[in-house]
Amino acid sequence: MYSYQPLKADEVKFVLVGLHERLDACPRGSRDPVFMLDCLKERVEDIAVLYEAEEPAFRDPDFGLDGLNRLGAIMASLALIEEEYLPAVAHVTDEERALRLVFLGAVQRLGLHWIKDLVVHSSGNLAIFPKFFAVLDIPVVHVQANFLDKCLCLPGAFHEFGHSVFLKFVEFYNAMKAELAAHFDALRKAIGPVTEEQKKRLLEDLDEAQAYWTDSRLAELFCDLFAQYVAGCANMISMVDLSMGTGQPACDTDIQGYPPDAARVKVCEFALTPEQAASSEVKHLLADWERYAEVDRADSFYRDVCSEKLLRRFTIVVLELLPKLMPQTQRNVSLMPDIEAVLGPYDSLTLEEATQRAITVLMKRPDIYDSWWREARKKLA
Amino acid sequence: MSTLGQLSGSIAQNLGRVDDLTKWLIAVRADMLGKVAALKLSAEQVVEAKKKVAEFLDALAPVLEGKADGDNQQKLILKRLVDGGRQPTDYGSDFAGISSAMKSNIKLTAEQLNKVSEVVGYLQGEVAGEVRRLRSR
Amino acid sequence: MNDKKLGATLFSINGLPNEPFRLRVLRVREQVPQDSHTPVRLNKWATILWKKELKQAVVPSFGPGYAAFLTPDTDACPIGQIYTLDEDVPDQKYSVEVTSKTINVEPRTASKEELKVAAEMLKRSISDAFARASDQFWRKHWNLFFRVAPENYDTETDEAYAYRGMRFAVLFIQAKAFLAADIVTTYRNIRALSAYPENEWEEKFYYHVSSQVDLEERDYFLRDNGANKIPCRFVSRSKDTVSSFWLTIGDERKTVKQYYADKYRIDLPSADKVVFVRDRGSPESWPVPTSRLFPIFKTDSDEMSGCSVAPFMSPADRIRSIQGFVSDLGPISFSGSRITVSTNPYETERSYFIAPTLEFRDGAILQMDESLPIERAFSEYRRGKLETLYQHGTFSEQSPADLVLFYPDSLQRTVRESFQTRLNLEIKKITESAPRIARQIEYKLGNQPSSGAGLLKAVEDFLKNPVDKILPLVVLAEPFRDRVYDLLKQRLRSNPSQCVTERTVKKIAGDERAVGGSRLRNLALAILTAGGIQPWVLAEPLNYDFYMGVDLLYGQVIYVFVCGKGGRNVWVRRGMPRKRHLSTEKIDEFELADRFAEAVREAKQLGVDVNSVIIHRDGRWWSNEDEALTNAITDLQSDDTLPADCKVGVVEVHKSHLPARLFTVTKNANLPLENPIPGSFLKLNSAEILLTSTGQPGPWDRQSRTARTLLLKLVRGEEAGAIDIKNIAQDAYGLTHLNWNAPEIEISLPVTIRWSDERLREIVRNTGIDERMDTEEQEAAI
Repeated sequence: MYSYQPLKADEVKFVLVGLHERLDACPRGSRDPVFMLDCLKERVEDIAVLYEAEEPAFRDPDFGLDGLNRLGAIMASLALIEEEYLPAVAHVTDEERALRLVFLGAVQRLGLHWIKDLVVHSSGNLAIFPKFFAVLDIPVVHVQANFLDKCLCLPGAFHEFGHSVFLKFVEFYNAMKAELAAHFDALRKAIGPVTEEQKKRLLEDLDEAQAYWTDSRLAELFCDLFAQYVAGCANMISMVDLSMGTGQPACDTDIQGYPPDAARVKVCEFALTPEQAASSEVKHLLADWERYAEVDRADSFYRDVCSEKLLRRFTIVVLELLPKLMPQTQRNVSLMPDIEAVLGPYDSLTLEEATQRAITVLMKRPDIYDSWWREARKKLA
Repeated sequence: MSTLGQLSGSIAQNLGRVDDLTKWLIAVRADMLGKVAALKLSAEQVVEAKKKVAEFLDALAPVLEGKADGDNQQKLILKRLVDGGRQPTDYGSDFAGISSAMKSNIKLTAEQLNKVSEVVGYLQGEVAGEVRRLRSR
Repeated sequence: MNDKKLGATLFSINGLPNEPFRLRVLRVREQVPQDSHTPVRLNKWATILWKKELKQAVVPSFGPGYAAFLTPDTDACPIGQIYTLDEDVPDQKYSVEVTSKTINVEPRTASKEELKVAAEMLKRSISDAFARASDQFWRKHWNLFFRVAPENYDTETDEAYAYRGMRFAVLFIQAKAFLAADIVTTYRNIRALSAYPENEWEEKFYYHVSSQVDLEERDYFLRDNGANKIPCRFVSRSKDTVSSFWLTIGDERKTVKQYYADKYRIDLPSADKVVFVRDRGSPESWPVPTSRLFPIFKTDSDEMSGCSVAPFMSPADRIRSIQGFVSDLGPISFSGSRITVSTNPYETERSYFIAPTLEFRDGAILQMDESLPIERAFSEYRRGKLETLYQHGTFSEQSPADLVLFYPDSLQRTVRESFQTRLNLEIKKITESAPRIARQIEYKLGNQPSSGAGLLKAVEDFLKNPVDKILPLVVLAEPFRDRVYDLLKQRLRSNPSQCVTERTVKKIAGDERAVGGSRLRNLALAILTAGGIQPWVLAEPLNYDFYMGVDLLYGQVIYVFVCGKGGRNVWVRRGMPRKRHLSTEKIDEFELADRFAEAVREAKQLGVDVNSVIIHRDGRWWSNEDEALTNAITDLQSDDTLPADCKVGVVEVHKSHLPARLFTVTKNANLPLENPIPGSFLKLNSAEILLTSTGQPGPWDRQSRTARTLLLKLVRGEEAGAIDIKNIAQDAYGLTHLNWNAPEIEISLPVTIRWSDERLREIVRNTGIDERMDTEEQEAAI
């Protein structure tokens, strides 16, 4: 008589062995994520030890659902490595190796010291997988295959690093939640003399608006602010591109896991220094964006969830906390660099510098952008 | 950009919790079945497992009885019970009893433990789903 | 069949003088347009003249070039009197003149309308005879009189007095006049309203006095002033007593106490409270003493449960009781002569329809064994329904709907779980798959458990987030009043649902042998049918191709369509709430026509050949509905959806109608009269037929019950023999066998009008139908 659990248990046993071998087979050159590979192997070995100890339970029908649940938990852990890490480490391209070093440098400079290693995987959308089980040490950074060809997207890397920061410091989350609660509490108290039925409806509306700000949406907003903090005007331009580039309505509140684009642009705008805001590059592009976004015509739900007052609250509290929690992280308060300075000689470029310069050249000297960038990207540190 | 950042945090948290819960339940089940030695578990491990499972149930029961809001995982269990046509208050009161039995070292029945396994299974299924969603982002 | 005869509670009226029925002719002075709408218009006018002007029977009489009305020649219509009709036709008034012309109605050759008036004339005489015997009888309606003395006048234990009454009408069978009579029973509380503290009135007599209940929906009180008894409805309280409330009667001022002393010779206590009531049919409110006000109860009230006088009677007892009323009636005058009513009930050759062959899953059938004596054959057929169902399964093969269970917080968890387990098992036995309980919702009973407020709120909350294809299964808590069910149905409006009483749930949960028992089985079947599953269908074709039932339920119109072989295609549409006009029920005729046309087209799409259409109308078919139907048929014929020679019939299905019951006359001295075999029928004329579709000869006789009848009245389609009333009755009887919800008993209505019996399906209590006692009369008074 055949039974599912022992069958699956046998397969898992084989997967464990296979995974171990595959990780062993990964290249371990100077530009490879050796630390990460070791972490992964160690994890697989830990899981194997657990498996071995619990194997009798998987094969004993008396353990019923517990055996199946436990096997499922083990498989989920393995799946994390299989789905997220293995594809990234098993076949690494040169460009990915190069970007890995660039990103490693950036995270160290930006104060994300807990990141010991990372891998870049050209899987598609720009994203980061920051937390491997309970640790933030070995994120996977996903980029588009032609990430380096899209300078307007470069600041997006900082947004992704922001996820690691957000997970590292729960204070950001707590502070944003507190601002959220305070904002809506104030609105509730401010309801004027209306009928009981109207009041009930208004309170329901406010509850719904407050509930809109899920953990995911707060995280995304934080990451935009983090990117704005470290990348300044370049990030502002990148956010305008994010909103206008896709063509989706700026005030669309229906995006799963994300705030409306308009809210994201707005918080970055609020995080500009007065000088940055007054700079012509930023001013003109923002004006273009305002015409596109038509925030004045947003529906009432957008206005409830993304009122400027609330967005400013978020901005202020994040900008206040960042220097306290990440004192090593420099806030970018500069303007876009002069084109002459950009075109001047240099030995190498950090990611932060490359971001500012590339966008400047594209804006001001698109005629030479191609040749300039081809050289510049070779010098990314 | 994707929501992978938050998802990883959620996966990490949920996977850790499920990992623990399933381990503890194996220990409790082994104790119920008299198979502790077969799994090479110590008496201390069993005691610890019961204590942890009881804590889990103590936190969950009021959520199922509608007396507390609960965290995301507890809310997930509540939703799965409701969607499955189960009466959450029934489970809540059962869990209070099971927790009490565990703390008093009263032997549980298989039916009682199965109920706990059932809701832990919801959590395990959810985290497996989250990991699967990594593939489809 | 020839050993036994068919009997009916019809008693011949004898001694009529020559030319007994003289009718006065009323003429329409203006030219009335002669078109297809003329009959409709004249019927409408006849009703207006009857109800508003003359207060006696008026029927239209028209032919080429003239339009007139007939009414009894009485002082109510003096020659030369002119009545103006300005309704119905815009910018045009018509005047109706009482002419000097009379006609004498000869029953043998009279038209239907003339016979109708003649019958009303006879009925009036009988009413007058009752009214004269006011020391013996009190009037509830002009055709319903009760004995002054209750049957249990000397009771020491009953909480209510039971009054026997006789309801009657007059009809002609083959030109002979008959009194149709039936016994009804009404119950009034032994204690008056004054016996209860005022602050308990609402709790004890919620449906009698609560302001939450519409005045027109409130239960009745009886103003019992001795021989003078008047049904009335509570309107409001007052701050006065009988000593402080003053009335103006003519030029005199009196207190209520004085008034009662003078008029009724009743000495009221001085502190007796005064409340306001409305007597039957009256728009005015009167101050009455609470010591003379007694609540009237329905048979399922708690006060009734132990009453020593049951509302049921066997056929023999019923006949005996009617004979008693007739004998005590005294002399009846009619048109200057003295007439008598025979005490021998009508008898004729036995006639009944064979029960239809039924089809279950995969073509399995059940049919009556005609080689056996009919009673035995029917008994085996009835038993065979369930056996065949469980053996072969339901005709419909789709899976049961998901359920959402509403239950009171008083229901113990173990009871609930046991009930669910057993219900699942039972349904699985029938359909091989158990329904899924998708949600369980507890509702609170709260401080006023009888009001059902907690349940209604739970349902309203649930409906805010409607879920497709889900069936509410509602446990009605024990303390609930009947009205909670009505309110629940209003909330659920367009959603099918199933109810079960808490008591039944407990019984099912507590009975180890519940699975397979009738209570659980009926509930299981009810849930399946509520979800659209047909346990069985009729195997043979009906006599007519397409049926539309029009029924009213909880203020909503229900259209039921039946077509296809044996009526196996059944679907329901719901309509807009009814309009009230002149206190009678009406339907939006345009909607009716639209629904009809849509359904005929749907039937054609299903591949049904529609060459005949029959409308079953619960209650009266109105002229505007007829007009709308005509228009719809014309449209359907214009595009060949219906053939030009399509037969069209409209049948009024009356549950409350002629007070006539059928029975079987045996040669058995021990049981000379017994309940009729279901399917028994008596054809009254070419347009009317009495049909019994319920009952169990034998068991019901032992239980002292008599089956009720339906009156099927063909109001359109009789012309040129297009539609045969006997075929109509046969189809109607066949359609009553789709009694899925209580297969071991017969239901009274065809499936086209079954929704009025929805309560039967929807509140599963116990097996067996309770005999309904006197309920609200719908007939017009004359």
